[in-house]
Parts: sequence; C-alpha cells; structure tokens
Amino acid sequence: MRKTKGSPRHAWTRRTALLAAALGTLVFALANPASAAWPERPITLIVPWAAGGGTDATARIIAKLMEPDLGVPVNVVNRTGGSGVVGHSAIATAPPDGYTIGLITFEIGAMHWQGLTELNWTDYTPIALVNEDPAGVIVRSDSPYKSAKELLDAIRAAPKGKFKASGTAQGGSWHIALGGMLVAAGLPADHVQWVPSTGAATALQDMVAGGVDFVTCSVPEAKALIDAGKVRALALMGKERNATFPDVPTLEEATGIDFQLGAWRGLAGPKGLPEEVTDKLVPLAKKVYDSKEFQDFMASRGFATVYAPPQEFAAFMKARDESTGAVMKGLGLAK
Amino acid sequence: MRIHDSLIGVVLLALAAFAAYEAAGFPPMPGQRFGPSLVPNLLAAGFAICGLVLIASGLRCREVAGPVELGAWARKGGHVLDVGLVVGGLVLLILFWKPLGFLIGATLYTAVLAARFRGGRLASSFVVALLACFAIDWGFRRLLLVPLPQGPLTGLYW
Amino acid sequence: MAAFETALGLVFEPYTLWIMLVSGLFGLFVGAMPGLTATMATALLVPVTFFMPPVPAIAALVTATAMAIFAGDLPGALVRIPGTPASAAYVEDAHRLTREGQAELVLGCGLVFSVIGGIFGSLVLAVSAPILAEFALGFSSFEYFWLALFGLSCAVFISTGRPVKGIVSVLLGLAIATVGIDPTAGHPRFTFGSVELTAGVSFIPAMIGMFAMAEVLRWVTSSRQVEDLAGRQKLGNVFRGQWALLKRYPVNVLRSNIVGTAIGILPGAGADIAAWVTYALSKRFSKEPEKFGKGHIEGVVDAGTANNSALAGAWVPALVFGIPGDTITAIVIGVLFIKGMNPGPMIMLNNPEFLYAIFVIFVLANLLMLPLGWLAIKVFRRILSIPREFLMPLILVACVVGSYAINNSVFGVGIMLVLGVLGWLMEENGFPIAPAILGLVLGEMIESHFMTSMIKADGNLMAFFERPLSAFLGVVTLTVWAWVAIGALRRSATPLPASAGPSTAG
Repeated sequence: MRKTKGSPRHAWTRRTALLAAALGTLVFALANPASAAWPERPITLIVPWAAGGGTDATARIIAKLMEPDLGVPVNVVNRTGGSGVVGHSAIATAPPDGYTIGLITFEIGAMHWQGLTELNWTDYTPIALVNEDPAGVIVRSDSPYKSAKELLDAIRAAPKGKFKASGTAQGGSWHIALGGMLVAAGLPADHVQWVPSTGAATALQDMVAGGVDFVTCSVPEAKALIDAGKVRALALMGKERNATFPDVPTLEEATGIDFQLGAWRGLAGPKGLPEEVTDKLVPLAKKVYDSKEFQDFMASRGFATVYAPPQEFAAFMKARDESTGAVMKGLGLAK
Repeated sequence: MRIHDSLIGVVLLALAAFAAYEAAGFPPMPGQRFGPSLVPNLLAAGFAICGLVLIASGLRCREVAGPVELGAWARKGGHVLDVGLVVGGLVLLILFWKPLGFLIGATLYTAVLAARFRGGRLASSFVVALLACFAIDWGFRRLLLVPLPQGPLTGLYW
Repeated sequence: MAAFETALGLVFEPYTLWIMLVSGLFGLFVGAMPGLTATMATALLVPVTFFMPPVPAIAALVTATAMAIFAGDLPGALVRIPGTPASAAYVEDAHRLTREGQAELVLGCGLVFSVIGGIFGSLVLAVSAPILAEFALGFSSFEYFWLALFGLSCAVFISTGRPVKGIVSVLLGLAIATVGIDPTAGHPRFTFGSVELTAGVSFIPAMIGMFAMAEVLRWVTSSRQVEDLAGRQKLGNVFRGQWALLKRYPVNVLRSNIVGTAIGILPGAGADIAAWVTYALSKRFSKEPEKFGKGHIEGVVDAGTANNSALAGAWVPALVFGIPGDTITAIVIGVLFIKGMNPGPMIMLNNPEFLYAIFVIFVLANLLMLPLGWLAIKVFRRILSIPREFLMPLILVACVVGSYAINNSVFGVGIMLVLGVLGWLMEENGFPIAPAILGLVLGEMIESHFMTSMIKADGNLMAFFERPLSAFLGVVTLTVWAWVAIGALRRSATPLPASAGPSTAG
C-alpha cells in the first residue's frame, strides 16, 4: 500500500537526483575502454529471415564453426520482416567495427529496384559467397506437361495471364527466376501471372490443391512432395544437375534456353569494415566453408555450396543486381 | 478515461478517411485491376459505418456529461504523476536503450517506480530492482541468447 | 511390430529420457517468459540438437514445445501476460479466476487439460497421419480464405458488451495487421517511411501491450487496495477439482480435442488459432455464455485442451509431406532433414522405427508434463506473494524484455507501449480487447488468401464458390454471418442501455 505522508515526496525527488548523478558519473567512467585486438567481445551475426528457415540454419552452422577460432561467442540474431528489408538494413547500418556481420541474400539485388529500400550491394563489405540454390520448375504429377519444353510451348501458345505460377512473394527470388526464364525464352516477363505466396511450401501446397499451374522454387524445397509422388520437377535453372536429383535436367538440356538463376547467400559486413577484421574473417570464412561439417550440413539440407572470395563476390552481386533489375522492369515491378 | 461515444465515432470517421486517402496512393498490381489498396479500403468502409453508428447512438443518449470524462483517479494529483512515470519512464527507456543498456536503464526504471508506489524508500527499492533486473538481464542474455544491449557495461561481464 | 519395439528401445534409453527432462524444464521456462514463444524454444534448441542422435533431438523439440504451450498459461493466469500467443484467448478468464482466489483450480486445469489435449493429438497423429495429411493437402487459398473468415467470425462470439464495439475492435486489429509490406504486391503500406514498420506491427509486443501493460495502467489508476492474492488462494492440490471439471464438460473436451487437432493439421494454422476458435465455440454452445470473459473456467478447459492437441496435429502434414502445419514444425522439418529423417511418405518405409519413436515421444512428453508442470506451478505461484508495488514495475520490465526479444529490436518495445495505452483506453470505454488480438492474428492470413484467390480468379468473385469444398465452407461461413446479423438486429430493436459499456476501473 502506498503511504501518503507530507514530506517524503521532496526527499524522494532529491534522492533520485543524487542517485542519477552518481550513476551518470559511473557511466562516463566506464565508457570508452581501451581497445584491444579484434575480437574481444561477442560478435552478432544478423539473419534477415526467420528462425528455422534455410538462411537461419546456414547462419547458425557458420556461427558454430567460427566460434572456436574467434574465441568469442557468435550470436545469431534474426531480424525479420519487410521481405528482408529490416534485416538487410540492420546489417548495413551497424557500426563497421567487426562486431556485427550478417548473412545477406539474393533479395539485396531486388528490393531496391522495387523501391523498398535505398540499399544495394555497395552498402556492404563482402566476405564470402557460400551458397547458391538454382531455381527449379515444378508441376503437379497429373500435369499434362511432361517436360519443360512442353510447358514452355503451352505457355507460348496461351494468352497472357492464362498460366499462373507461384513460389515466393511478389519480386522474390523465384518470381525473378520465372520472369528471367520467360524473357530468355523470348516471351514478355509477365506473360505468366504470378500468384504471390509466403514461401515455397505454401506455393507447393497450393499447386497440389489445384490452385496454380506450376511453381518455380529450388528442387530440394519440393523433395518431400516429389518423394510422395505428388509433384514432378521438370528442369533446374543451374549450370549442372543436382547430385540428389540426377533425373532432373538443366533448363538448357531440357529446352535449349541458356538461363541460370538461383537464390544465393553470402557473409558480409557493413560498408567499411577495417582491414584488421577482414584479414581475419575472410580466411576464416574460407576455412569454415571447406570444413567437412559445413559441407555435410549443406548436403543434408540439399543446399548447393558455391564459394567466392570478396572481390569475386562483389562482382557476382553486381552482375546479379543488373540482370535482376532488367527482369523486374519487364515484370513491371521496378520503380 | 471515458470518451464520449460520439467523439469516438468522429475519431473512427477520421481514421477511415485517412486510410482511404493513403490507400488511394497505392499502385495497382501489375496485370490486375486491384491491388494493395483493396483491403484497406474495405476496412475504411467498416470504420466509417461503425463510426456513424457510434455517433448516432452517442447523440441519442445524453447521460454522459462532457466529451471526455476523466476517471476519479485523474482528480487525485498523485495518480496522474504515476501514469506519467510509467509511460514517460518507458519512453525514456526506449530513447536511451542503446547508450544506457538494459541493466542500467531497467534498474533505474524499476527502482523509481517501486519507490514511487511504496511512497519513498528509495534505497531498498533500488537494491531489489538491481537484483531483479540483473537476474532478468543475465537469464535472457546468457541462457536465452537475447542480445540485450549492455551500454557502458559492454565487455565488462558476459 | 519389430519396428515398434526398436522405437521403444530408442526412446527408453537413459540419454533420451535425460534430454527430455532437461528440454522439458527449458520449455517450461521459455513458455512462461512473456514474448518467448514455443517457436522460440524450438529455434533456441536447434543448434543444440546438431550434436545429438536423431531420436533424442526430436525428443528435445517435442518435449520443449509441449511444455512451452502449457507454461504460457502460468503468467497469463497469474499476472495477465499470456506467456505464448496460444494462451491469449483465455487469459482474461484465467486471470480473473486467480483474482477470485481460484489460482489452484485454473493452473491445475491448464495442466491437466493440456495433457489430455496433447495425448489426444498424439494418438490422432499415430493412428491416421497419412489419411489426414492427404485431406489437408486438398486445401487451396480459396478454402483457406473461408476458414480464416470463419475464424474471424469467432470475434463476434468472444466479444463482451455491445456488438458494434466488438466489431470496431476486430476492425482495429485487422487495420493494424495491414501495416507493413503488403503480402501480395510487396508495396509498403502505412509505414510513414520507417524501415522497422515495413515488417509490420509484430503480434507479440502488441499482445503483451494490450493485455499486460493495460493491466498495469489499470492498477496504477485504481485505488490500489492491497490485494492479498497469495493469502486468498485456497492452498492445496492443483489436481483437486480437475476430475469434476472433466465430468462436467465431457462434450467440451471431446469437441476441443477434435477441433484443435484438425486446426493443427491444416498447414499454416497452429495452436494459437486453435485456442481462439475453440474458445469461441465454447462460448457459443455454453449454457452460461454470459459468464465468459468474466472469470469462467469453461473456456479455459476448452482452449487449454485445444492448443496442446493442435501441437501434435501440426506434425501430420510435416511428417507426411514436409509441409509445415505451424511455425514450430517449419523448424522441425529442417531438423528432420539434418538428421537424415527426410519427411515424406517414404519415412514410413525408410525409417518406421523413427516414426514410431516420434509417436512414443509425444505420449511420453505429455505424461512428463504432469510432474514437471506441477513443479512449475509450485514455483510460479510464488509470484503472487511478491508485493504488488514491486510486482507491477517488474511486470513492466518483463514486458519490455519480451517485446524486445521477439525481433531483437527496441522498436517492439515502442509497439508494446503504444498498444498498451490504446488497450487501456479501449477497456475503459467498453471496447473488448480479445477481438482486436484475433484480428491481428488472422489479418495477414485473410488478406493474403483473399488476394491470392482474387489473382487466380482474375477478380471474379464467383470463383470463391466454384470448388466444391470452397463452396461448402463459403456457404457455412455466410450462413453463420447472416444468423449473427439477424440476431444483432433483433437485439438492437430493444431499447439501448447507457452509452458506454461496463467500465472496469473508475
């Protein structure tokens, strides 16, 4: 119960002021400790996607494998939402002191075209590209189209918007894959109507239920349904076939269209990471990438591994950024 | 704090107008006649209808004195300060989240509120607040890996 | 049956049992912390499971989530902060019962009926997984749209006071859900240029604010009579009275088990939606619907049963087709892949012993909940003996940490504050809070399924009735709406009471 006596209120405010002053002094005394060699405290690894997803799992295994060499904990922090905008911003705007890094993804080359953010690949210090999963073309098992060629021919013959496909949100990686494939086949990028979904699992479920004609997403994402005999993979938009699915041809083999697109993931820090940090992080990232644990883990999830050192990673992002922009203009998404 | 139904109705109408105005600026979806403005417009219509119903029912019943009726608590000066401390303290905690860090900020907030509710006794309130906030800070940061900011204490303890 | 014996051997092994015990305690702790959900418990466990053999890894996840869903009831009943979203539906009733000195009854009820729900869901999972998964796979966005809309009509049943205020509340929830990048076109709406708002208003901070922060403000502005909540509780056995409850509500328990499991099986809908829907059904079919929301045990029995049965149901599509039934199983699928137990119909042929092991683990985890939950109640009940002058500031700090933890952003704390003040104002003016929370939960689901269906149909509304299942669900939903509307009109024909609804503080 609150007691309301006459005087305590004055005493109370005075004592608060004293306490605040004392704490203030303490705060200043403790601020700015002398800097030692990086890293001397835990490192934060930001993931722009939700806990439990593929990007999150990749980040967590990388963090785990980096910890012993760095000697400090590497904490994976999920900053989700806004189709990746929030997390990518958090990485780019963090102080470039090496204590915040992130796992950036394909979307960094797409979001700015849509006008969702100003950020693009130049706002990061690339460390290493670690993975790229090529898009696949998936249809229902009872679909009349037995090959990617038959499907594309049918799309070509149909009026614009008759065919409907799904796989991600509007402007997401698998939407760009569809648009890019259509352009490479000599069609307008928006010839097939895109039905946005929250992810590949939702899109596949909707296709099995008869909602859309086909889905573009990575083949491992559809593995359980392929095993169940519910869906078929017609083609893979990669340079070569996937070892887990040797029967699925590449798009070039199936249709003669030379087009590749995949969703990639790479380690990066905010722009302007000091050399002291990159000199340690770049070789460490390579070591983690080469480790058996990492390769086994990625193989178990069906994720393809690709490595590129900082220079090549930057050139890769630049090239992807431009090609994605061209497709998004064709889709009517670019602002 | 009781607000007269008619006034709430007017607020809802304003909300509807704002939503509809904002939604008018949303681009249509490529290849479709509708777009992201569809659902906000439907909601705005709903707000407008409910707003009108509340205005009508509010005008029909004239029991409530003014447009805004403060509860009995607002007439006791102390309670207004209490609400100010709870809400204002939280605003300060948010503003100084990074520079102060969780432990310092939360301890101050808890100590001040507890002292206030107990009518003084700052020292004992502070000790309890410090112990409780330290336990929360440690538990969440170390056991549950929530990256609570540490402010000036960064690097001093994990 | 050799596979089943192998499965028993895999589960009843000291290491696995030890893991279950530890992860059970962990799940109880996480679930009881506001802002940390059962999904979070799973995500935090994943890195640890990297280093375990498959069966203990799955055992850890199953046990932790089951415990977390139950533990969400603890802070909900004791201090009106729902520990997880799955407890939000009945937090009002549970908290009022505690204030009436019924803490033992309400906590025991949460525990016992969680166990019953969990075991029922596990049995369904074991007996009929493949058939049910096949059925759930037939749902497209049209069917989901109708289901979500049907779920939304629950708001009408759960709201107390004047219907128009309940509708405003649900519209408010839906409107808040539209903030952020829109689910179909990817256009930012109502974000005012804020990067944080592109992610939308997170549901967890919103829920914490509207329930817990509003409760603190109400206490602060009240006369603050000393409420000796601890002394008022009837001491004794938490299990006492539960058998009587079961005998009193047998139909409710059966209905909630079935509905909860069914909602769990549907991909995308989980324990939280199951709790809301069964709470609404409970009120609709109750003999004393006027008591709901004012401290009535019936809704707690129903929704407390359903959220745990939904948990097991969600594993059905996850195991059979690799399609997550809720956010928890989305994480679980990843773990299954890592452990080489790739989900899909082949799991039946390739690893039958693992599949049986999962069933055994589910039943065992729910049985383990009885002693562990009893212990947790014993520990957490002590919260009531903390003097309110300390408890209230500490609840605020718990709200702050919980709102921060969900996305590791202080922006969440801001959301909690704003919606806390809003929630307090709403309650003062007779607007029920629960419908707003329901609108927030279902908002994005309704919009995205509505918009995707519209795109597929090229804007033709008739397409919502073209598929047989969709037509059936649509007719049912519209009938319920028409019936509610007629009822409301009939009621409004009678003279109107005083303008504001019942005020809770003054």
